[in-house]
Amino acid sequence: MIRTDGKDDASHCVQLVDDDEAVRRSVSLLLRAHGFCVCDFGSATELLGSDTCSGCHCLITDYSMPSMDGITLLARLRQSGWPGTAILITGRYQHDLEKRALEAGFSALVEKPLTDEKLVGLIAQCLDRPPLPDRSRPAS
Amino acid sequence: MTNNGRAGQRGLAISAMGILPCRQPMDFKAEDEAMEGPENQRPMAGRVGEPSVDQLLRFIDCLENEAILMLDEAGCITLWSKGAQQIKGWSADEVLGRHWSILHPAEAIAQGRPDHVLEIARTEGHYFGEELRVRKDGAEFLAQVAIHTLRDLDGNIVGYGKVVRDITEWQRAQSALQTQEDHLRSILNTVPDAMVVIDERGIIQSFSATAERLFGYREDEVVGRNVSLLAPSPHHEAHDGYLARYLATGERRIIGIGRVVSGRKRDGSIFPMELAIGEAVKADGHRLFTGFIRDLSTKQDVERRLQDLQDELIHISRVSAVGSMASTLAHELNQPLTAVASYAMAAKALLDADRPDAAAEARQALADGIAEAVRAGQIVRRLRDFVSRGETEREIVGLTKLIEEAAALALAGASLRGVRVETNLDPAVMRVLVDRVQIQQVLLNLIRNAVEAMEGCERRDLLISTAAVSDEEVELAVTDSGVGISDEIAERLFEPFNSTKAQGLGVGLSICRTIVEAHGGRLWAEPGPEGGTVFRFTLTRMDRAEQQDVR
Repeated sequence: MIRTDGKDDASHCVQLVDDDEAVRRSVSLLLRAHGFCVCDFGSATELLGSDTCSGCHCLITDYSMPSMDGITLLARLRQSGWPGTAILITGRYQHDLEKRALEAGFSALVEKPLTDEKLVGLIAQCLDRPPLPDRSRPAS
Repeated sequence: MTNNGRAGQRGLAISAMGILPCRQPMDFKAEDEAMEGPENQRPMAGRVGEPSVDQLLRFIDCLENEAILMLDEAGCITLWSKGAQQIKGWSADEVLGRHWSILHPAEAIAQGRPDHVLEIARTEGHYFGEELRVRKDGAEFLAQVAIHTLRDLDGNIVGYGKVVRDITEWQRAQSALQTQEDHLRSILNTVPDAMVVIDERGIIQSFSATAERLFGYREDEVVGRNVSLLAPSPHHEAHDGYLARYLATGERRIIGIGRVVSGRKRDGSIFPMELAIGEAVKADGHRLFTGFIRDLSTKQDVERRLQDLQDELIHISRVSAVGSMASTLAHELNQPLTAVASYAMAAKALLDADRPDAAAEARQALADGIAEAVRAGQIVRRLRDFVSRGETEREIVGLTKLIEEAAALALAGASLRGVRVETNLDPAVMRVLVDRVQIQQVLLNLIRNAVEAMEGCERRDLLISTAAVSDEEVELAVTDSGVGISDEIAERLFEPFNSTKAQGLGVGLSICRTIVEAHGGRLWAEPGPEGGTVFRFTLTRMDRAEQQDVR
């Protein structure tokens, strides 16, 4: 885990759920490289069964997963009183998915492939905290 | 004319019933005595207001095309008209008083024909017939003969009146006409086009044998009915209008032009046909229209077209399968593309952070990104393989992997809610010799069919299984717990374009069978052990060492 700020602050921590291992690993690495603390899970049930990152304030979840989809996962978290912000990612276009995602309480829907740092910016906004200054580009 | 002294028998009496012979001039005032009288007394004048006998005889002599003669009760000739002389060659003097058998050919005489004919006339009162007679010169001719038995007022037979017409020419013309008609009919019955003749009102006048076969009606069922019977809507309703417009305006829209239209058979089925119409004006000024119809839906044509399309269909089927899989593949591509970009961006961020261990981590991230790019490339290649028509490329393939991949593809897009999928693979069967893409296409089709067959069923169990049949052969089976297939559908299951589903996997099944058979295997369907359907097909095994060497 890369910690660039030396803090293990739950407010910097992101929970990532995706059933595709390559996506999970690469996005985790990207977020860590930008200074976030990341807890990743291969399925919604794995996250719900874990309490390691219960203090995280940001959830990034894939929509389409085998046993439980991302919208259902957020509904479960809300039921249990989780107050954080959530971003839905999807590789499958559905015309009403964005509407459903917003209604379910997601802050944004991001479509795969994720080929720019839009997600990083969104997470920073969600956490109400700019990502660590990056010398290659102006701080947002 | 009086050479035999019996000329008085030529006396004629006119009555409302026709010509009656008398032995003496008629005495109209004493009819009961009229049969006897002095010989040679000839009635020169009839009753007032009626023609004289002489006039009647002259009239009879004027009839040149009919031989008119009379016989006495024994069959001897008593009257011989000029027409008789003209037709038969003898003069009256030569034949009067002689037995009428001289008019018959020798063969007829030998058979007793003359007496037999008179016997019929006596019994029936008359005789009509067409038979051979001879002329004086011995030539035979075909005669139309009418004989009436003549009786006196007491009903006694006094002789026979006879009219003979030479119908040789007429018969010849008739026969020539018949031959011509038979010839024409035989031609019309053998031309592949069906023919329907209608009059100006659209009423069917004739209906050829080919038309009977094509439309399923017998000629006697449709003659007299409106031809619109054979046309589907909207032509069915409008046909009378078409005819009326043509007769009124003379504007030709189909007559002499021909076009492709739809026809309606007796069973209601509609078929494409080529229609050409000819027009004929009859002697009375009315018209007849003859429709020449060629069936464009004949089995032969369809089969030939299907044969032409077979290769293309395989291609189309794949393209459409790809169409339905497009979102799945897009999703699959999105994953590695996301990973590639994320690894690359992470590597950049790590290097930018300029920390001691960043370079090693960035290198690892880039290596992982390259691996994901390779994965994306594989997906693209798989798509290309699937779409490309390509020649069969057989290779030895692991059966388990082949089945798992096909099942994953087939089940990816399907609505799987409530479907329990089970595989039961024979561990002895490891390898098969196949075109991987084609056989996966077969499996994909069968699995999707199975899932669709179970839609709406309470129990939805899908079983994919393999079993070794022999060292050379393995049988694959896709079993569903659906409602099964009716016998009627089962019969036609593998025919192209046969499908019970709107989306239609019928083409798929026919292609599946084609693919399996091209691999030297068989594909068939049978009822499942607990309802539902099992599709089974066989493939060539490559499990023995020497088989693998043969590759």
